[in-house]
Amino acid sequence: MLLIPGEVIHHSSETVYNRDDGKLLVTNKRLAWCRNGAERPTCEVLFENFLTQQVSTAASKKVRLRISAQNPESATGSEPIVLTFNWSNPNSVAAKADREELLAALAMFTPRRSQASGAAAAGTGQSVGATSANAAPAGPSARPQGVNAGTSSNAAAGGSLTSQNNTKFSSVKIGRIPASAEEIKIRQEVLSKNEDLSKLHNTLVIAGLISEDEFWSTRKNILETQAIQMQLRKGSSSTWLDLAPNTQTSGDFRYTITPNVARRIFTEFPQVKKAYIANVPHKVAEKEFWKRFVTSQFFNRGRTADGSRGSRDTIFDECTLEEDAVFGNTNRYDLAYLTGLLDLTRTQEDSIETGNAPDFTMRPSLVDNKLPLFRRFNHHSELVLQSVLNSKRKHIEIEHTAADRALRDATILEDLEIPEPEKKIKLSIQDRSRYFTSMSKGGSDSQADPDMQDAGPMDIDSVHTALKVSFNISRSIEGYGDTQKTIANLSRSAQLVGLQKRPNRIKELNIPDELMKAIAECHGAGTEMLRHLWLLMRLPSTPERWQRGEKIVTAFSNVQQRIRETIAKANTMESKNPKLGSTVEKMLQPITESLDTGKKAFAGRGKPKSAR
Amino acid sequence: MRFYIDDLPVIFPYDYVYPEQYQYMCSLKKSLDSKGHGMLEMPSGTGKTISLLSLIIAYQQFYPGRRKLVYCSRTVPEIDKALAELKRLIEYRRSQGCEDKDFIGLGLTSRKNLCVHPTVSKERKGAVVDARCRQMTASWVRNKAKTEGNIELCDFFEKIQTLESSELLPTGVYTLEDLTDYGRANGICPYYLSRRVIPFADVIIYSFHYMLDPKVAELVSKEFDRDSIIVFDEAHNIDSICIDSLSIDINQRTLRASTESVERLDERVKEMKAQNSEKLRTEYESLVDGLRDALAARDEDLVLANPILPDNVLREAVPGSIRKAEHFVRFLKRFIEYLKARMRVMHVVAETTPSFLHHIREITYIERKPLRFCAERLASLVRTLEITDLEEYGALSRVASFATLCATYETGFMVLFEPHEGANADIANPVLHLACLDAAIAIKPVFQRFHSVIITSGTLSPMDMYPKMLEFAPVVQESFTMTLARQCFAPLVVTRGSDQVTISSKFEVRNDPAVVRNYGNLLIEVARSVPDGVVAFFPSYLYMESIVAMWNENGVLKDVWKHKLIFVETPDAAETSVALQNYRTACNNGRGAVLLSVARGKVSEGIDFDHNYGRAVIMFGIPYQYTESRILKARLEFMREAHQIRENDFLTFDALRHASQCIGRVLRGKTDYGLMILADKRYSRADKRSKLPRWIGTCLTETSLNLSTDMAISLVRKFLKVMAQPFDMQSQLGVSMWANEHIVQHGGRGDVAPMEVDS
Repeated sequence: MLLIPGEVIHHSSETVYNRDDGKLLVTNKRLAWCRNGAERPTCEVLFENFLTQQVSTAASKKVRLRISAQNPESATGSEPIVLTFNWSNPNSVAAKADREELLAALAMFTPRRSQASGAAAAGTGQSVGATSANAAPAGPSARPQGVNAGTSSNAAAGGSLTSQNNTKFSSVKIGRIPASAEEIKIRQEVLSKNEDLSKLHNTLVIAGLISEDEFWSTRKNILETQAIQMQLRKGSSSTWLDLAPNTQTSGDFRYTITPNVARRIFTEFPQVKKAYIANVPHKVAEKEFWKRFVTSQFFNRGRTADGSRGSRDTIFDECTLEEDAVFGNTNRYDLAYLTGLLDLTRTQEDSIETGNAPDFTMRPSLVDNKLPLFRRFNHHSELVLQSVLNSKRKHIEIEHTAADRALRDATILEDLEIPEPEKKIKLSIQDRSRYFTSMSKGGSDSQADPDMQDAGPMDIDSVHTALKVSFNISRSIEGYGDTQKTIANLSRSAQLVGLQKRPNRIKELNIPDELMKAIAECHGAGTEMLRHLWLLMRLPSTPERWQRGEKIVTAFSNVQQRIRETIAKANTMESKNPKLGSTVEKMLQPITESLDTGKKAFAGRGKPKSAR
Repeated sequence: MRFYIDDLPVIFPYDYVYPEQYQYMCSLKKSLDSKGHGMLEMPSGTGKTISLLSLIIAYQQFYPGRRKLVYCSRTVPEIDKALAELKRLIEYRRSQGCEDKDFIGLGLTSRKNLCVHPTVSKERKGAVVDARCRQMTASWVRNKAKTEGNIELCDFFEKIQTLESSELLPTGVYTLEDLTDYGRANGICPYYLSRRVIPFADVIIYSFHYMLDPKVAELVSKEFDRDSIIVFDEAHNIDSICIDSLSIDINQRTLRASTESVERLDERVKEMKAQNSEKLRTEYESLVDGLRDALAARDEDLVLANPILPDNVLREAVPGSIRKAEHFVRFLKRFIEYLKARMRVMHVVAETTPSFLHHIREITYIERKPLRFCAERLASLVRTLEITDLEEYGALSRVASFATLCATYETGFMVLFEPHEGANADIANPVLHLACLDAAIAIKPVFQRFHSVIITSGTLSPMDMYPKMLEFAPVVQESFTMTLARQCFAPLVVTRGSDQVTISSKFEVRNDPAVVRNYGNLLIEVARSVPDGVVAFFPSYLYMESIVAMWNENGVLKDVWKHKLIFVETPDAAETSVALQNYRTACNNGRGAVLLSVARGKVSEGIDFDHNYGRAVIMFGIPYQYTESRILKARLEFMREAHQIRENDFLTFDALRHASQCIGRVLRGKTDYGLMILADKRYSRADKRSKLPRWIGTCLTETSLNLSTDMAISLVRKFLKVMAQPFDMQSQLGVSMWANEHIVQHGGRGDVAPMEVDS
């Protein structure tokens, strides 16, 4: 295969793509598949377009890899391209192993999507020693052999790039005409998430009834929400940095250190970062550095139950000492930031030390001390918290009032106090689908059970407030409350009985799901069109507006057609509800009427003068 | 609200009262009326403190005599909380028209926690603060400063010396924070202020040690009226505190430091003799007269502590052999050399105090009587020599206290020498323990001196244990259960993993891979299904170390990390405090956290995990003490002989009070809810269950008594779903919450009419 200048092949696997035999290649620039003998790759994916990878399950016979990537041609392309490769090696074990190697090579260049652009830039660092023939004896103490070190010194900078990537959405001005590229992206996101909206979009915009910008002009809030959601930065993962080695066929271990992993190691262990800066590359090669890292005692004491595992190493022994010095120095904590209620030192300092020392089961063990491990846990959790909260315990106030509040919170039993009546009105929709039906013309429905209307059990609260104004003693409420309570209870139980008897009136109508959907669609499309129509009519009329209005009105017939179809369908459909047809008709009547009204009103207005 | 108990009008600073609070107050009043001791158990989180304070303040203000309340608590945060509740109560009483004239309530704590001196308060160690404070406030330093110029004094202390006792502190309730603020604003030392206000205060709140540790009690608690009401809150652990206050450890470091101190004393004596033997002579004469005069010295001069001494001893004169300073120094040297020799033995020696004394006499010719005066004599000498840097003499005073205690008590103590660390013979760490075995010794003076001593806690069951151990006879002994409108806590006993393998922290199986794995799975599942905070307790620090390391290795924690952050209690208090703070932050943000800590540790004593800070507690295993401990064995033997308490009964009782203390930390109030998971096969046995507090025990039903992990998790899910439903407070009324008319309904006397003062 012809290589781009500067390109190096890191791994190649015999695979089948589109029933052709060929090689799947991982280079430092791209993932490419090339038919055997061909010079140009049949398909290729540049790492910046890389989206996701999927592998066949362990149980499946075929060894597959599916790659999805952004289509480079359509920069804003909606559909990613998907490529599926089959390993041609009939020996599935060997094929799997080969695939794992390929994935490992791939992982060096394709960091997670969430960190896409930043890490991809950083990931072009060198990758040392793809494989190493492992001749060392395999045993229980098998030492890690091959170390893939694919990091570069700018790896640490990748984090800031990531955040830049996400913050670009924060500056988007929604509603500008013509829409910015970012806004278009946001619109696409919204449409891909919201099926109903996308249908509406299809019927209105794609059909050319209203323009794209108009469609969105009434939905600014949705776009704004989406923009905020997109600029939300994903916090760092709370998971413990766990470098799990892959076990090779020869029984040796193999660690893969990608730029991402290296970055996490650096944040987790600042000592290692320091050592890295001091030693790489002039004293030890990068690969050597990481190799020594994973074999060192420093690394292993955070992983194994046996703290003394791992070999001594000049670089990392120093890290150990440094870490212990940092963790061991408890003076580093500024106790002023602690809320007094949690400060255990105050109790400790309150009494003279007396008594026999605790027996050895209650002290850290002298031989095999796990304290560094615990401290690493606490440190890691703190790091995760800080990355979310951004600042170092800034949120804790140390003023007196804060201390008082903390004490108050810790002592008061709220339930023993009469709750303050809430000023807000509670919206309690008992049955959403019912809420929808009530919009239909069957007004008799809502009158049928009047108990639903005064369902608010909140009445008693307002009575309380009223009483409080006229009598200054809260105690006497109970005397008054009895009648109120009885009434409230009665109406409540009546309501409950009603609900129990007919828990869901809309369900009783037995309307099939697809019909329900069709009805909702008719409503949606109709309302949307009407909204635009009435908007046009309110504005001073111009020829283009009139034309658009006319267009919309002609499109009404489509909706009416849909309505007729739906009703017809309902009439022919088998259902438990014998009157299904008429019910549906009733439900669709309001929208039909509204459409007619809109049409008439528009016709009544006539053409603007200039168009004549 | 306001109601009557008998004829006593009680003002309670809430609109409603829990039935158990009302009953608690009734029992409390009964015990105060009869001027006898009381023992009351009330579920944790049901507002024990406020009930106690409401009743006692009402009692104090209503009946003549105005009995002072001395309220002892476990930890400084708890003192803070009690003070805050008191403050609120008094404010509420004011709003209800009670004047409570000249009412003063305050808390006592160490210099470290109160100091406002600009440089001294920045010190991190309490002992350093104490030493630096003494260097500026001791009377001879101040005398010297009058003549010499360049001696630094503490302005805050100087100011307080100029004030009359009436103008020290305006009336009111002061939290520790208020007190330092007041001190700072007025340029007064809050520490000495609080000490001086003690005689005028109506309520004093401090920690157990101030009452039980004879060294401290001597300074602050001696002068209380016999009529005072003494309350020990959170007193489930009171016997250990009693024992601790009279037990002393001596290791090689102590002895080395003592030798140095003695040398220094020697030099000082010689120096002083050369310059001015007047002072030494006066001291000698006062010693002939007896110790009483020396004790009359002012508080801040009473520099070195002395352990408890029966009164008749104090009235005797110090024996002639140690009256002269140089003689006493030589005497101390000989005693220290003797101890050093004892430390060189390579095997364990356990003996009674008389046999220890006998051995001393044989080897060194030191008699029992001078040993008994050792601590007192040292204190006097330090005073005479005008030594301020007491820090350096800490070890020596320890040795002197050791001598005095050994010589004073023939029973109830044991001298134990252990040359090795724990069970491991490889690590040499020789320690000479003086172990107090009898909890009654330290608390006896309190019971004898005061009419009403109230012992209360959330977990005192089984209640017959305490009167036996502490040798007192309560007139009121009551255990209250929790009245609930909904079951807001769920104790679950998990006896086996999902694979049906029994789980237990029994020593033989605790490190079994299957047990470790099943405990790990339980933690993962709980972390997965419980929102916000989860607290896990382990029976010992050692076990926590080993099991957490194993979990880390076999990937259990990896799964836990996916759901929650992990924090671990460490032996260092500051470090743990920061971890706790972060734990809370994590509970308030995102998915919450898991806190791994130790039963009997610092966290289990006094940190609350209410509401979202603890939706579930897991107790892994039963927190038995280390039964191979020689001190524990000796104590068990003592209790069997002296109090007829069987070893097993005590061990189980002790383990379960700590377990219930741990799991009780999740609840505060009845709107809170929490899961209590007891993960050990042995909890399902009747003998263990019967020792749980009644309020927990009654909630253990057949369905929750023998669960596997998966069954438990499905119960957990169900419980959380039920609890997440909105809860109508009104349904509590009359059931788990009383207004005035409910009190009347239950035969009490409510107070429906508005108060006269309102009009």
